[in-house]
Amino acid sequence: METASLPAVTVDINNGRKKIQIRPGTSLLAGLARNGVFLPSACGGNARCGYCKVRVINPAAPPSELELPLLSESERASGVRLGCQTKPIGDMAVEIPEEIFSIKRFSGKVVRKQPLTYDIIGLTIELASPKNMDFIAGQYVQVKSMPYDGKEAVLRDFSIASPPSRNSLVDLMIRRTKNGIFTGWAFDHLKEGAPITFSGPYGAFRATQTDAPMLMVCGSTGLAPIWSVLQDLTEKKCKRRIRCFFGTLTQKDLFMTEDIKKLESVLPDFRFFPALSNEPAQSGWAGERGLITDVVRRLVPDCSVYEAYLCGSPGMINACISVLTQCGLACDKIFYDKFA
Amino acid sequence: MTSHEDNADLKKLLGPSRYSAQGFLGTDGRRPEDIIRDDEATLKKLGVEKSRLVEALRSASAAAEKALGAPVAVSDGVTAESRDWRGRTPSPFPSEGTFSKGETVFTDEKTGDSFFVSPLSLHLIDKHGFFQGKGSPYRVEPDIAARMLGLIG
Repeated sequence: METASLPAVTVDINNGRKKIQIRPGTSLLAGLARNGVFLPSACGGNARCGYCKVRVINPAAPPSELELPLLSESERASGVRLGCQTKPIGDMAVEIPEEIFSIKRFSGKVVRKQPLTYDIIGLTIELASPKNMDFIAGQYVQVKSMPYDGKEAVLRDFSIASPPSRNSLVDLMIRRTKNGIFTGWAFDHLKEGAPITFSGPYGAFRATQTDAPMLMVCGSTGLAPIWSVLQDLTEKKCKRRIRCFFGTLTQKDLFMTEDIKKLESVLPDFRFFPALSNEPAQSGWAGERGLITDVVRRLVPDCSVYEAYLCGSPGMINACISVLTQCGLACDKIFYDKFA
Repeated sequence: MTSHEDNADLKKLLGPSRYSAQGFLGTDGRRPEDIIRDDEATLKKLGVEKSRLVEALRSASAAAEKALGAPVAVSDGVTAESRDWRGRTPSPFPSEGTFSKGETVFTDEKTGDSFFVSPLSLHLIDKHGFFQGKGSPYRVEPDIAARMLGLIG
């Protein structure tokens, strides 16, 4: 509960990088947001998601019972708290990742909604305010749904599928989640022309600036950040060797394959391998078959010179990391965006 | 339900919310603590320890996750398939953290029985003995699960 009668307290962010005034009793999550600093949050400030972490430099205070399960031992020891549960009653100094300062709230409208597969849609959002978003290929945004059928608005993360150069239109790929509140709204209620809001950009997944060959492995909507990175590299006339693997169960789960395949004639050393793990033997599919990890191992038996970029389910990423390290790739050359 | 047994808001906690569109009670008219007691009695009658059932569900789910969506054999005529979605979902009980979205579907090709297990539903069974109410998407019938996993004849 905010305390209107008490004087505002000062919160110093990142050693003077920004100082804000908030009312005593206001959570850091809310107080920072009111001052244009948007910590990620998926639960609306209820100590459920654990996204809104900040490091409290001064004064030190132990985390509450609600926070403990969401903080690691090292985080607790270094003063990390949940922004939604930290309510300054006096001046406070905190530390947040520097990139959070570039996160903004955006509003726009859906100008295109199209099915990509039976359970994945593509959305294109035209930005209205601000009119452009600066981001790095591989980052994600947090989209807010609208209430429907008695269900509250919720926030969900989606990787940006469009390239940074096209910064007034944002493409997203959304897969229907079973009984999902957000995806129920996006699939069944959201129409072309409808207003939509989101915050971003978030995330550290991105291509390095080296010349190392790139091994990209993704599944389902994990293609979104990979597609953004590929378009960006194409525009930058990238000369790196790139091997891109897209694993799905059957042909009906594939999408965007023709667009990606076209890059083989644009980028100087790019090869694309869609691979199916559960396609009927008699289907006529002439491409790669098997678990994506087995396909990678077969086609790139020595990964030692590569950097790997992985995006998909935790199971897929864990399996890929295991295979790639067995094939000679150092762990610090593996970058991933886990769906969790 | 460990420390929540006396919580008058238990039904509200387990009902539909911003975190779970359908909640955890389904169409079951019983009180949560009665659901737990009845399922506990079912397992006792079958002679199956809850921990053994949880371990079998966890082990089969892990095998299915490694197969990246392709079906894996669990026991005679029973398969498990893993599905993943982006994000995490919180436990309905405060301070229990969040769990990966996704599920494993267990299917018995001979009887047509099937049920779903998610990391969260497995946690609720493990920590609280809560198999969810009948009609809930992630309700697990203890006797059917025990049979399909080969824990009883």
